[in-house]
Amino acid sequence: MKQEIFRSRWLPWWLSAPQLIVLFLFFYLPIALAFFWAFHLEQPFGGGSEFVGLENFRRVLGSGEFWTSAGATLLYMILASGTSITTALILALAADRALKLSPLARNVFIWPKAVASASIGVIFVFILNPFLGILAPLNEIWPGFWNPRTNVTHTYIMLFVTNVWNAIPFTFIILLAGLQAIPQELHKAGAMDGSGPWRRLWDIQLPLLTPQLFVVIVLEVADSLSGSFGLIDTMTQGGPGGSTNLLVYKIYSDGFKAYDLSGAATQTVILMVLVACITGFQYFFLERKVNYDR
Amino acid sequence: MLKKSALSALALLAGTAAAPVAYAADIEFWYGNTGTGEEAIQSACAAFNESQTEHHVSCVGQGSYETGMQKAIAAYRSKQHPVLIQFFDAGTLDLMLSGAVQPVQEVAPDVDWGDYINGARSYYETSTGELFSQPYNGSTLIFYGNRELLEKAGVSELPQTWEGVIETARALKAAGVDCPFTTDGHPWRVLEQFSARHGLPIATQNNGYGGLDAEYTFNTGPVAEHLKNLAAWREEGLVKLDADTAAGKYTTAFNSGECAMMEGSTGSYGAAFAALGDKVEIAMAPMYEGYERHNTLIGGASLWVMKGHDAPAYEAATAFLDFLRGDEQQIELTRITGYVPVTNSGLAALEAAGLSDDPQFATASTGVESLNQPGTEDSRGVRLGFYVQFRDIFMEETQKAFTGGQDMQAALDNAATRGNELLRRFEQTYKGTKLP
Amino acid sequence: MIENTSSIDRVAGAILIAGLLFVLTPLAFVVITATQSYEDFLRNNFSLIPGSHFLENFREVWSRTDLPRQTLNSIIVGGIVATGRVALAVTTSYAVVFFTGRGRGFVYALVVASIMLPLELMIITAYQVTANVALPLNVVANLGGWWGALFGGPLDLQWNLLDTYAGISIPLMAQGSCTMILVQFFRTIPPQLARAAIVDGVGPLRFLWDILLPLSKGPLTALGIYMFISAWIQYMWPLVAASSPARTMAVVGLTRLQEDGERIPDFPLQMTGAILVTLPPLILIALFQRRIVRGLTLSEK
Repeated sequence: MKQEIFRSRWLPWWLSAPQLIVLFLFFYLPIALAFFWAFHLEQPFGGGSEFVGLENFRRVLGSGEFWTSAGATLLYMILASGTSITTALILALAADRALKLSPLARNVFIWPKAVASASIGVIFVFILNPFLGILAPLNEIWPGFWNPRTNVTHTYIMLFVTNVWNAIPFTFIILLAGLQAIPQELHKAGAMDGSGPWRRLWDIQLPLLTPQLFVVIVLEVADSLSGSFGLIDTMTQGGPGGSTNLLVYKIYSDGFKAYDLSGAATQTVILMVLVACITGFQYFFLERKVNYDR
Repeated sequence: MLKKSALSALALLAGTAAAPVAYAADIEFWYGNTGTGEEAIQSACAAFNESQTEHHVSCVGQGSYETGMQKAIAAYRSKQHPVLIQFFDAGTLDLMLSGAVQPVQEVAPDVDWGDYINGARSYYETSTGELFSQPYNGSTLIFYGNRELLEKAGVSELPQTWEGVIETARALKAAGVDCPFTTDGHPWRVLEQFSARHGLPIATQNNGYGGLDAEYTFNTGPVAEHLKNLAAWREEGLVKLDADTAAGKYTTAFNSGECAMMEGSTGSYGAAFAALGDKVEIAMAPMYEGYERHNTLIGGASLWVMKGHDAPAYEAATAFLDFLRGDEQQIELTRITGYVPVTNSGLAALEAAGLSDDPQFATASTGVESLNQPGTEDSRGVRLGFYVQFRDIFMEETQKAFTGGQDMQAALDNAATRGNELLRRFEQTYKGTKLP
Repeated sequence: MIENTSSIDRVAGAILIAGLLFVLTPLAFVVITATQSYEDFLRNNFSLIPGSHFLENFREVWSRTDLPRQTLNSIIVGGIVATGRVALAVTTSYAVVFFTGRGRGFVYALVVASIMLPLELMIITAYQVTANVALPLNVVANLGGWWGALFGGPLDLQWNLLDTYAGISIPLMAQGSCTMILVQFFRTIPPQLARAAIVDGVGPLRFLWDILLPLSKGPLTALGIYMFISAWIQYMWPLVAASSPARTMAVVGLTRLQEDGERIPDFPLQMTGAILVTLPPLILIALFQRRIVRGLTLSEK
């Protein structure tokens, strides 16, 4: 962190206070309550709660379902954010060029943002329906070619495709903005040195895009986690056979469908620690590679 | 400056929540049904509010039973809960022990609760025979056939045994019907209703009626045989699950004419009748040969009275419950949805009106007949904790078996083990609480 | 300077066409389905030929939902959330980027951490806080019973925000991505600018108001529009926090069109609903696309 210009003891605190109060009330306080529940056995309607120490953690960490779910979650976060960032990056690099299609594409690629996640899942389930959707003709030629309802790999492909569609706008905006901010002089200078447009992609554009890539990676990894809820809820409900029961959805269904408030809270706490580690990793290892100088 | 105006704006917004009160009591009722069920509930509410001027009921749809329950839990913890809430069969024990509800028979002691048919009573009553909640939209499992498709295979009557079902299915298959029989493999159908009518327990202590220390036992014996059969029949192309149908859901697959037979709730009848008209045939759910037929369980949902409100609110709630219990409202609910009448007088009124032969009311007689079969200690109902979650576990494990991920016996064993963990945690959560 | 870029341009063109197809195909499906009647749809399943029933579907959606009021609610909540998030982000980012002193990193970490956990995970506890925002005051006042000792009874303040616009909006603001973007933007502003201001004797608040805010108008508008849309498409929290029809938002209201699942869902109707609720944000995006993208350009040109 550089900048650091004004010196004042209290002013920065006053400036941050409104946001900190909102975060305290509606983010940290609910989390604190969740922590409380993680160490108690809580009756759903609040009739009574008993302090059980680490019993909940022992139960959660000792169950095979939790580890399966945690593994699937981690894999999903990596693959979902990876596919969506790669797609958006390729689209942004293409749209950055002054082609006839570029203005249209820059506009259209943001449209998916307008569709609520509650609708996106419904739409894609409908389109990718193995018997009625766009892949149905292929199924008639090769039975079983595409069945996201029973084939776990297909289910995940369906989720990734939907997630990419859903995630393009934000990532695309940020990356395109970053690309457009690269001064023309740098391109010209590069060209003078005899490097062609493909070469400059690697030598100039990508390195100078690192601040945006960093923002996008942090936000997209987080988003793939929270966004998975809406998609799973509308598309797979955790199936087939629990294979897409990612932690966010598992916590939701354990806590709200099964009234296991303590178990859900315990898993929330564990997920928080996991997320904190991932974020920490991103800051310590990735941000160092970010190039803020222009 | 900015902060100040923002604050006053917030104060303004926060103050706009209260609504004017013009009645002795204006109470809320949260329900979970959508579609035809919601239509019926909304028209019942409107009728109640018009029928008298003293009370007013606001009926708020929550989109599903589960959402309604989630919101009720959060609302109860924050003292913002409604007076009445509708919840489904599987949550019975959770609500009984919640401490958040008052037994309906205590709220309204003067009602003739004995009028409720046995099948409806036993699921919701305490060990002393007191009803905890008022049965409302009652359903049970019946068997459906599509007459047109059955005739294609030369079958004129719905089979009454599983052996017969499979014979018919083979005939249908040979006659070119791609989907002879469909089910979703949901435990309500393949486990609870199956065990009850075959007179088998799914857990010790009479399915939990005897105490919180019950353990699941369904993973050996006829239930396991039946599920293995289903898996084998599915391989043979005789049985289709949700995922195998074009429609993606068994009821839809039946209603659209894709499948010839299904096992389903009476509550599905309204939609099936609307889609297929008099092509729909129904009968009691099939038995395996060599078993005596017992009653099926009441499904659907019941109405619970929540604690923590004042006397006028309970007066209004009682008046509304009385209204819903009335013969006219029960017949109306049956007409719109296919849910069955839950009181003897309701059933009698339906017969007296000459409606029992009307195909639109066909479920009433078949459903009640099925509910009124001789009972056993194990066919009263399911009184097991965190049962809603167990249903999900059962689905998850058996789905793995159906799609080839694991052996069916292993799936059932896993489901029982995981279910027993739930039961033990439930026992610990309500340590020291006695079953009512 | 003339350079031969045809090879990269051809590849880029192909990528753009593929991208356009990928984004537009699902939307086209939605539009085509929305123009069909339920009967058409049952007969043909997926048809690529538009029908002529959009107006009928539209009227049906109109009569079955309370769209005008719900749309107004969405606009109000979207407006509060967008204004609130941008305002909070400006002050916090300013404090984090332009000041020396302890705690900046800590504040920033507190804010960024909130990106990671969705509100969905904390629904019950967040609901409990919203039902009584004075809860922490009560807890502090009753710690050790000092309030009771002083005033003869425990403090029991009640401030219920459920089913109010504030109660729906403010929890949606408790998320730091807006701040994170703005911090990245502020960091690219040349420090010389502020140093020059100090030399000229301009105080920190004047600098924020007179120099930084005008300079950031583009990104702030863009963020505002973006946050408005983000709030518009929220589902779970508005579902839980609003219990009366008077506060229901459009996206939540439209789920009423979904069926019990006993018959084949009326997809044409659902898709019509999806179009109606998607159109306002989509128009915003189509109109302000250039501003959104240019606004988020880290070095405003």
